Amino acid sequence: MEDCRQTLSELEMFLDGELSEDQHQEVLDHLHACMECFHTYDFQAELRQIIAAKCANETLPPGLAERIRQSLTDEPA
Amino acid sequence: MEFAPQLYAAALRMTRNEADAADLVQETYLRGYRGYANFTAGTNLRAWLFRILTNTYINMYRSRQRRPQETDLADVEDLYLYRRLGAIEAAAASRSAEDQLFDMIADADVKQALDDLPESFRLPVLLADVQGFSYKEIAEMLDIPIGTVMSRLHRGRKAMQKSLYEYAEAHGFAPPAADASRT
Repeated sequence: MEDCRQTLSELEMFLDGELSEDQHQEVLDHLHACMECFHTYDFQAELRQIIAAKCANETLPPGLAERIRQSLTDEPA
Repeated sequence: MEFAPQLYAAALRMTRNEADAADLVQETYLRGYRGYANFTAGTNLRAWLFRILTNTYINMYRSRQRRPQETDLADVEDLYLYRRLGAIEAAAASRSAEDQLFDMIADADVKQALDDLPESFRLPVLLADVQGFSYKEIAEMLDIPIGTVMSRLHRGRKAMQKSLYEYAEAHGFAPPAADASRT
């Protein structure tokens, strides 16, 4: 279906929040009406959350924060 | 140092080793401190720090990365992972396959899949999907056109999905028996 093709081609930008307001609304309307596309969207959205959650933060290695503070203190003001 | 854990996480994915990542974060803070006069109050401090991080990485570390610089990626079909779940008619039926796949994706696999991307794809994916920056912010950080950001994100994400699927299979994920050619 043409609407499905259109929605899937815009899904990435939709998830990135980079569509225009009108385009965003069109995709949203289609997702509300089409179970198949909604399911694809839902999968991609969940995958993104997983990727972001697993890479977003790392514990700083011991001593790094102190090393940085020291190097800034040593800088001439 | 509110942003240090995020900066360090990004630095690890950029440099792919802990010693260089620590040095990179330290250098970023030093450059930020020296250049603070150039920071416009009221604008996004986090984006400004990530821009310094990215520039510092590109200027200082890229040239001595040990892995050979690959410039391109094999083409991968759209929605690669989703389509691997097979031709599942009812949404309800596919839910368990999806959950099983997501459960199989370990922290280390996501990091590895990202680390495996050639740098020109890795940086945009890292900045967009992990750190949540906009196309425009990424284009400015990497000094490339927005269209290039978009195409690299598109291809980098697909390649990453393929890696994730291969890792999940290696951990024992078995795709549904139905044919995998959902269109």
